[in-house]
Amino acid sequence: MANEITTRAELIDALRVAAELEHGLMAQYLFAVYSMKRYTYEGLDPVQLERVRRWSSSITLIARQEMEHLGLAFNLLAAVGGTPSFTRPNMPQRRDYYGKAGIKLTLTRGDLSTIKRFQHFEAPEDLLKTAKDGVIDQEAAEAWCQRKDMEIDSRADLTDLLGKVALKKHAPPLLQGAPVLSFGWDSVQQLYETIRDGFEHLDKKLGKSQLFVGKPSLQLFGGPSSPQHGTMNDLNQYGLDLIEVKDLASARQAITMILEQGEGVVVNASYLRWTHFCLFTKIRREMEEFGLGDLAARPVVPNPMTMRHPDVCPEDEVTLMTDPASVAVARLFNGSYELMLLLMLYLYSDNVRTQEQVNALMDAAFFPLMTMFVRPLAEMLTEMPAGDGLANAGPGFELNGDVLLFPTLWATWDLFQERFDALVRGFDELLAGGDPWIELPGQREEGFTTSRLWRRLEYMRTNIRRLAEDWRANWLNIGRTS
Amino acid sequence: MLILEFEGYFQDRMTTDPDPTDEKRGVSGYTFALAGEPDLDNIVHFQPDEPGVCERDFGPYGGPKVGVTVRRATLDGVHRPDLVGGKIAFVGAQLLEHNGILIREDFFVIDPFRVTLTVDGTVFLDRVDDLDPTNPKLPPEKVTGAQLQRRQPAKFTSNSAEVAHATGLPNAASVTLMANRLRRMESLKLLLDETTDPVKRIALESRIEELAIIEQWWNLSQGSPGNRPIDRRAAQLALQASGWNIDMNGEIFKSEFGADPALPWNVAFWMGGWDGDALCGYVKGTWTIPTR
Repeated sequence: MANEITTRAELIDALRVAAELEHGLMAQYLFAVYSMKRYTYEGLDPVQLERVRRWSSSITLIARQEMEHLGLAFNLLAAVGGTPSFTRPNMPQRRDYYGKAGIKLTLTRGDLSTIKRFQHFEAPEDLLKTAKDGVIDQEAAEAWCQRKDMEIDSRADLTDLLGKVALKKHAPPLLQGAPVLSFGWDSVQQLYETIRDGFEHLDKKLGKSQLFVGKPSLQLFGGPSSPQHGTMNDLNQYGLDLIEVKDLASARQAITMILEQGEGVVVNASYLRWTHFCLFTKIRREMEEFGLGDLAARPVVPNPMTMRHPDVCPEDEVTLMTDPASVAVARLFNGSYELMLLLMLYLYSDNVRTQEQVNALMDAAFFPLMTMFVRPLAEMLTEMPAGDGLANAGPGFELNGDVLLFPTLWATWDLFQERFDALVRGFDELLAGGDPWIELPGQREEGFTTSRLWRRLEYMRTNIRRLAEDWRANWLNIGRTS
Repeated sequence: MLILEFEGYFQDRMTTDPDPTDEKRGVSGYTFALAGEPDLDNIVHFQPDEPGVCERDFGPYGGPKVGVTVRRATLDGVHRPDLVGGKIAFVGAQLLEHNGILIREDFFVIDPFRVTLTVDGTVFLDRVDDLDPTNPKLPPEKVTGAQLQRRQPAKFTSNSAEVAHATGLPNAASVTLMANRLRRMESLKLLLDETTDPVKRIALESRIEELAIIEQWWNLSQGSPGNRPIDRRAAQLALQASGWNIDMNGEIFKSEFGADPALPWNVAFWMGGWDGDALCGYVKGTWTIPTR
């Protein structure tokens, strides 16, 4: 077993694991945040609710940055001729699925124990050494987040610093870790550092032109050099910074950005508070201080699924939802999620030829599907019953195998249309019956005969109908855009 | 011809990207229904006494006060001072985009569109505009792109001098916008110092934290102070959406001053100067009503 990356194939394998990991982390963060309480009828006073709202805002920022990390991993892959993939196992998985890194893939509500697990995911290596039973020492974590070292006054200084960090030599990774790779890794930090060393080794061995063989058009990035710069599809918004990978320097920068946003290994005190690790450390402290560790989240069951998936382990950590309406909503969630991934996959493929096609995919995928369907459906599920007297349901982020490109390019647009139309039918069928949620706590509202959940679904149905029709009409009915 | 020139601050407790547009409390955007405040209603309120308005305290340095009024009025070329100070309302209006489903790039569709003039408690003018005059009940998600465009602005202008002038900013430079936000933050900190109510305190803390993000972003941005990209919380203070120009075509509920019901009543306006901390913006426009 080698302890370093010496071939392109190894580099691609490692990057695919990194992408899978980011995808899995993102789903876990989103599951937790979507379970957190939002409304006064959920038993919290206004002050408690505001605290939970702030934590939710922080965790959604972190989840968006995990999407950015996934995007950066895809750009790194595309740059060296790899194929981006949304493949990941369904949840849960055993704690040693990623070997010594101890990253437990499981969907659990946003309570204190979940926050502790997330804090561990994002912890710098130094603090992992002193963790006990997968829990980071909070005192050490607080001290880490209050470090004061160098001052950074501008983005140019930050870029410069990240470049210097990227050049630093690290100890070789240990020879224990996930069996899915031919080298070992004990933490996320170590995985990325190994990937960075791999880029450096291969750049030296093959040279830039032989290593960076991927077509630049197969990457997605934002900012001034992006075709989407200044539009709503500019990916560098809302705390994100997706860069193009075209040489060793940009590869180093992409990897270092991932590490700094997560663990904050070397950044200065003014940025530290925004790192994922320090944000989770703060949430943990406040949850403990204000006694909200158990109260912040709805009583959502772990790993709620609509069906048994053959790849989960251990099976007894799965909760099969049985409430028919919740299962129907969960299927709509899974359908929206998978369609979004599929649309995104095309954006990274060579099958999209024109800027109009790119825009169509982006216009459907990034904003509407994620923000108007995936998220609201997930939030609503956590207010619905799971069934059989269990607690609340939730979004299982279920995947039926790999998310793959359609083999026939000529039919692609029609195949997408079928997916949109299927979602429309799903909403129609769900809303054809009676309102099953009107008796749930907080669902009755003065002036309305239907529950809040029902009305939110009606709003979504209106939107999915419009989206499906616009796809059919090739966006002819969209209003003025420039 | 009756010409009413109106302007003032409006409130729109609206959700912001990337929150879904029916979000009630605010999570991932930068507008929130804070502790002690009602849910976000996404309705454009021109008058402070409209149900749903929730004006925040800005501390010693002050902030916008909701109220859109007629500043100048003429009827067939003759000044009508009796109408000056009259209240304009866009009744129940919303700025819609559905996160790119209805329209893109934040070229908001305003809907419903019903405009009133009220003077001393009496409504003198009241008319609606229909997206589709042949089917007035058609909602925006069922109309064509051309029908939507009637209710959209024509363009956006960043660092608008016109907005700066209207809202009392010394100029529209980014450094000025940053200074304005930092001054608001300072004012809120002073207010926090004298606030003891725990609900008000935590709401103030959240507002201060949001304004602090502006500073963080600014300090890490590239370029010199004159050309640094700035966070939307500051940039939108001088952003202008202009070119709304709507020939109102629908039912008339109240008509005075010899207004001609057979002709469209034109409303042209811009909106801008969005203060995300106050959940307020500025509107300036002209309502032109043909007379018989």
